[in-house]
Formats: sequence, structure tokens, C-alpha cells
Amino acid sequence: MIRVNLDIMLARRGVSGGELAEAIGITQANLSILKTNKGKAIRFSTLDAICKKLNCTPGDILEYVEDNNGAE
Amino acid sequence: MTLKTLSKITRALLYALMALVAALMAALFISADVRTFMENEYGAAGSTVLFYAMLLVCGGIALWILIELAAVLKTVESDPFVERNAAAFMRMGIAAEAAGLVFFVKCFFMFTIMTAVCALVMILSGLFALTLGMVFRRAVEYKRENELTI
Repeated sequence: MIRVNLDIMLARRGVSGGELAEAIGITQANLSILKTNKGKAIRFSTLDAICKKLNCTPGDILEYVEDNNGAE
Repeated sequence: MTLKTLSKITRALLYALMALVAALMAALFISADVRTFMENEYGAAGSTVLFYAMLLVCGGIALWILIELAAVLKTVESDPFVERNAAAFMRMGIAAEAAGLVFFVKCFFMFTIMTAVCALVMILSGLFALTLGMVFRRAVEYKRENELTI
């Protein structure tokens, strides 16, 4: 599965969730869905905006981890 | 014409149709003229009970379908792609197939051209509603996925 490490990057950069949400033009509720790994997909435009704001690469935010139960 | 107006007009027509169906069902018992017409002109004299039972079952099914349709139309203005609507179309489809089956069986006992036409129309409407139900179910899935795409 793909894990979203947005919390870690936000802490590293000292940026709050609200600030990021406002900067990239999404709601706090949607940012929360992203942070809690409940999202089904992420748009390139969103990823681009996050990377721009946090000055990082997609690999810093997204990480592949082996599924424990083997489910896709 | 806006979606809101269209939905309101359609719902008003559906409510009028519901009242008409209910009135016709009541007329079977209240009006002597209707009874005479059914017995003399529509071939119901041989098996009145069976004929009335068939009409009541089909009338009930028609009312149920109209109520479900009105409920679906109510959601058109806000958010029609919900699981409830998909299930409603499936229920309507099954109900229409049941009515079609009643008309089909009637063809073997009291055949009229209109009975055969009704059977065909109900079976086709049922299949159409079932297809719509499946399409709605897929739309609900797409919508859910889209909502979770950030």
C-alpha cells in the first residue's frame, strides 16, 4: 500500500495543516483524508502544489509499504 | 427550464398519476358502472375474483413504482447519485417484472391485445429500470472514488 507521510513533512518544514490546505487550494477536510491515508487517489496538480509549498519531492510524501494482509 | 422546475413538474405529474391509480383501484369496488364494464366489455365475467385480484396487484405495484420514482426525483436537485436511488431502481425493476409476469400469465386465461401489450411494456420497463439501477450503482462508485481523490 501507499502511505502518505504528509504529517512528517509538515512537521519538518514547520508548516501547519491549515496553512498548507490554504496554499494548495483544498479544504482541511480533504487534507485530513490525505493525511489519514483514507484517500483513494491524489491528483498530480495537488501533488505538485504540495511539493512546491513544502519544497520536497513526491517520494518524501508518498511511501510504498508491504501490506500485512496481502490485500491490494 | 431549470432542473428544479423540471423535477417539480415531473413530480406533480407523478402525484396526479398516483391519485388516478388509487382512484381507479377504488372505483373497482365503489362504481357499479366500472364493474359492469369489466364484466361485459373486458371479459371479466368468467372469473371476476381473479381479474380483480390481478388488477389490484398490478395497481399496487404501479403505486409503489410511482412512489419510488417520486422519491428518486426528489433527490435530483441535490445529489441523485446515492446508494438509495440505485437500490430504488432495482426495486422498481423487480416490481415491473412482477407486474409484467402477472399480465403475461393473464394472457393465457383472458387474452386481450392490451394485456399482451401491457405485459411487453412492463417487462421492457423492468429491464430498463434494472439496467438503470446498475448504471446508478456504478455512478455511485465513481462518485465515491472521485470524492476520495484529493
